[in-house]
Amino acid sequence: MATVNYTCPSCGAPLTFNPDKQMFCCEYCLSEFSDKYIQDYYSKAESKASEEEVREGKAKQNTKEEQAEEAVVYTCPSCGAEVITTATTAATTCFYCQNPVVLGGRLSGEYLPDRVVPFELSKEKVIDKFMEMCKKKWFLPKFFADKKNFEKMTGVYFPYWYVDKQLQADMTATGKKVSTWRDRNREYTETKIYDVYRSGDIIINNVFERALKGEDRKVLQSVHPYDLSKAKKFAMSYLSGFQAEKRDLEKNDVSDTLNNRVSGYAKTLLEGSMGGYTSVNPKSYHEKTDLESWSYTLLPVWMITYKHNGKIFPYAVNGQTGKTYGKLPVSFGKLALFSLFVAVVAFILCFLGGMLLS
Amino acid sequence: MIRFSKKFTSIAFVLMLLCASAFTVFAAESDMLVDDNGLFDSNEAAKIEEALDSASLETGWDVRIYVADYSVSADNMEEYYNNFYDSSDYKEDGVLLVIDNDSDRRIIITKGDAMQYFSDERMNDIKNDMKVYLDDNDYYNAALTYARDVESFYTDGEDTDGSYENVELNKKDVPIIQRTFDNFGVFIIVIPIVAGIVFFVMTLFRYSFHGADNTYDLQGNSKLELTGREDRFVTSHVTSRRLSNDNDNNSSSGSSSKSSSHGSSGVF
Repeated sequence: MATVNYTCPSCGAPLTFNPDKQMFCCEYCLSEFSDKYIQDYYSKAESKASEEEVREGKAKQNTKEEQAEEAVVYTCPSCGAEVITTATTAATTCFYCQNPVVLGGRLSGEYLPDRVVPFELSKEKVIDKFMEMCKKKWFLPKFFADKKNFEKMTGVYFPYWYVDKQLQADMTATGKKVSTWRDRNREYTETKIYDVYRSGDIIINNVFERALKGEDRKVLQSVHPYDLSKAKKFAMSYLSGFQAEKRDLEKNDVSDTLNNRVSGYAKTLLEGSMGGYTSVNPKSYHEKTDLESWSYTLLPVWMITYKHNGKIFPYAVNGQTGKTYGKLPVSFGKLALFSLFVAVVAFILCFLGGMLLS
Repeated sequence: MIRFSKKFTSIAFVLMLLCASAFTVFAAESDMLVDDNGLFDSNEAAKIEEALDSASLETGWDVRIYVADYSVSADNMEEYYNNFYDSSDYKEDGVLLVIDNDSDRRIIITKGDAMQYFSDERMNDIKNDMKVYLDDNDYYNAALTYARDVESFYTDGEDTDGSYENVELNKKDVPIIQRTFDNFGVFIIVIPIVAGIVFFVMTLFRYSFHGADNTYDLQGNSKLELTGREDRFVTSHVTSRRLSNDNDNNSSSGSSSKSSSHGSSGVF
């Protein structure tokens, strides 16, 4: 397996991408390098890794080996240790020497991402945000809101499919206008019914779906949105210091989901243009796609999993905006006690109210 | 001698006055029987008074008989004579027998502590005891029986096994806490329980799905240019309904008595 090990051009120490500075920084000699510099510096190494991956892929085809292997062994370029990763891991940290390693071949050829949104929040900032959030949650178990728990937080680039679509759509609907008025002892209701028709050219961009099986879909979907204006052309060096996953869901696997979602959005837009009615009831809808553009993007997510009462809970933080999503553990004792307090307060208020009315 | 006689006379006169005033004081206190209709003669009245005084002394209540010289309708007797008792300068605890001789109706009203000694069963007993004489129009013995029975009920103590449907309690006499629970007990118990459960469940739900779910900005990521637009009127219809008249609401004055708490034998 071809690997790329990003080291400091000055001192040779491991080089990682610093989200706070948006540059590559060496923790040892404190040198800083721009992303363009590192990409140019390592362009040969990255190409070599990609070519090696393609050769290995062809060799497996010739020997009729199964393409879908579950795990792969790679040799750490720093310490020489042999480490096993899953088939989708594209960047990781060597378990033994803790140096970042990018499995360049995994993100080459058809798996080469179109763009990447680099991490903007460092681990420390994310942990601080998380601790701030925990302080506001009264019913978390004592063990949870401890910084030590979040040292295990890992920055991961997850793969997503994005689609932009231009389409022509039309919709017919029944619109109702209802008005009421009163006259002495009677109330009158007038209902006017209309046939409503709208058609238009619609552009819908950045509809996304995760490109990785197995992970909690809700967590990966709900950690959005990302500001894609800050997305950069993909370079392997951005992955240094983080983990990354390559996709295992192809366009065909997610196209139905995405197309249905786009249709839903188009319908919402057309319905939104049918203003002035008390209610609108769509009857028919047609669409024709004019243009469709797909992109494969890696997005930054800080992930942490924790165990509580024998269950594993994943919690994700958007590596760009800090938006969080996940299931929080609850201290049932604290919650039950506070619920009882709420009940007592409600009892006192109801009783006082009853006394005033009696 | 004359001087001694004058002194003696003066002293005697003063003593007589004192005795007379004492007598009148006693006389003023002994109006447990008010006979506006002349039902009893003086001898009977005196004996009845004595019996009533004895009962009053024994019980500490006002044990009274009032013979009315006017009639009140049977339906109104209870309320009328309950108010009569309240407006008169009587003790808080007492028993009043009202005799409306013209209409041949009687009623017994109990007040204060006396209510607790006059269960429904005892009310029936006293009425039955009196009826033995009333059937023969012997009001004198009926009155004496009344006084005797009142005293006997007191001596026997409160009838804890009896029913007290004859007693009508004024709201204000019921402790407010009990009144509150009587009127709103279900709500006072159920609402806090529901509030506690709802809070528990909603917090669990919030912690289970922490974070906003809807993440796609449709407005920011889309554009619509209308190329065709048509709104065609099809039809309309009008419906109407009659509004309910608020004046039709029953202005319920409530059947609750505005009078104070009391027990009653009912008209007999």
